[in-house]
Amino acid sequence: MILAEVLGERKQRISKIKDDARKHLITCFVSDSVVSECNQKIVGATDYIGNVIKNMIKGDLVQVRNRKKLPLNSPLGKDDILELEKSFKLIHDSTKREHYLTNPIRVIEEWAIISLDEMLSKGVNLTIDQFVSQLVAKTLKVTGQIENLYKQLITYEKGFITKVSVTKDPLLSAKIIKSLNEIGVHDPDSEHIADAVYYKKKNDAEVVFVTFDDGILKNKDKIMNEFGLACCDPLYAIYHTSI
Amino acid sequence: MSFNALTSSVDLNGSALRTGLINIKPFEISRTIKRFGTKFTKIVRGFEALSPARSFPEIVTQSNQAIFSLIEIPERFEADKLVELYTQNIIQAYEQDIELKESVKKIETKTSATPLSDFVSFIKRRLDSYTERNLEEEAVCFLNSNFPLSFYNRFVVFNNVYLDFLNIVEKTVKYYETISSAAGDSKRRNMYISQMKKKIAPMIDQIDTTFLYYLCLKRYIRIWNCETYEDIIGGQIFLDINKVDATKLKQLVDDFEIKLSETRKQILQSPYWKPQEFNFNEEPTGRMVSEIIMMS
Repeated sequence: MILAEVLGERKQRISKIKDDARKHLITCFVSDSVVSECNQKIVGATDYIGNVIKNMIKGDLVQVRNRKKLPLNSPLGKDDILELEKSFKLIHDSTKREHYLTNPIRVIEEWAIISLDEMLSKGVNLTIDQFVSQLVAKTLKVTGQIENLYKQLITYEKGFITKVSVTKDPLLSAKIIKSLNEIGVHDPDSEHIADAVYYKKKNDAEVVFVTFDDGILKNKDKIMNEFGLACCDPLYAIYHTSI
Repeated sequence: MSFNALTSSVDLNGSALRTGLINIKPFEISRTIKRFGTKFTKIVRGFEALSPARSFPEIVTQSNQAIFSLIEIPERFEADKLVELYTQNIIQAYEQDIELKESVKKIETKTSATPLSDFVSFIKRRLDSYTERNLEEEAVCFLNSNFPLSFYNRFVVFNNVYLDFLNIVEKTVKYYETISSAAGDSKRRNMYISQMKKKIAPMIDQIDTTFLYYLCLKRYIRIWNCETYEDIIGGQIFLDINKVDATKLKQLVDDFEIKLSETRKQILQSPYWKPQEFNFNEEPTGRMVSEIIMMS
């Protein structure tokens, strides 16, 4: 939900919980484990995009030119797009065989090909190096803004979120995580839920765990039965409280 | 204008900001002039350099000395020589940068009613106009290295924070400049200008320290990937992560991140800070990055 807020995704649902929290003076906490997972997601996505651009897009374009004994600094054209089509197909085929998620590659493929097409349509002559530099620069522009917004929201609580550090009893926490694993909630989700369960017990507070994560939501009944913790989409959070 | 491998676009602006805003004091001269047979008292107001002033070369030298006392350098290089090399290079770039030199000079000559805020606005506009080029420079560095893209992202984040900082400084300076120019006497005017300096000096100190760690990190990587002084001055080189000590690199990254975080905190505490709104779904790259993050 934190990342959805930063990225401006699912605005209506997030607005609903913001309004509810404001109206009923409810504090929205975020734990250290969630902060750490969000950090990892931003860094992971940035590095993943960087690797695809450098190793796959640039790597393959250079390899094909070398194989065909074509100059590396001549402008990109339709033939290069057709070469990229072949490269992406190979990746999709191999990842399908190995049952990996193919979607992230497809998202980058669409963006890269459409970007190149736009530049070619405008009559811009670009070498391989210029094209991939532009892709990386465009990516950095966005990831830089995202990280800045995220830090403002999380570190300095410039928004509706308050950061909370849950000082846990390691034994009790391990016990909760073990039980969560048994009902099908695994790391890092189990750690987030354990923090909420521990906070609820320690402070004898009414706690609702709000998330968009399907892995947690599909186990919400089990979590409720085992730990008495309500988990839900932000749209319904207020209805799980005694208000 | 262009920068070589040693000088980034923020190098000059950072030091110039201190020269232009902190190392100055207001002055007021009353002159009696005679026009059409009548005597008038003309008051000339302006800013002059503090005496003894810390010149631009002095500031740059001190900053380079600090950098090379903070980072470990390979045995093939001497710290003093590196300080000299980098200092000379930045001063040379400053000397060639007529636009920036003129802008600093304008503060000391009465060519505008609002010389201080004009100067900050100028620095801000300049950095803003370099944003695209900075992004391309980081992109080229990434493509000529085996460091992950997230490593270069922190330099882009610094650039964004620097722009936020300049926004706050610009608004603060504008406020004090307005009330000081409306002040009736020079005593009150001096008071407002010293209040302004008191307000912005800790901010400039903070951004300068962060900038110092930013430069430490960049120079540490470059120096350990260069074999000779000529390499250091030269253009693009391949930056190999295996040529730097992982523990020391982590320490430098952590130091930089801590300073960046403190700077951001200072900015966010300012009454002039306003959150920026981005709609990442409005343009293709924003959409692509958002989708990848949400998928991971």
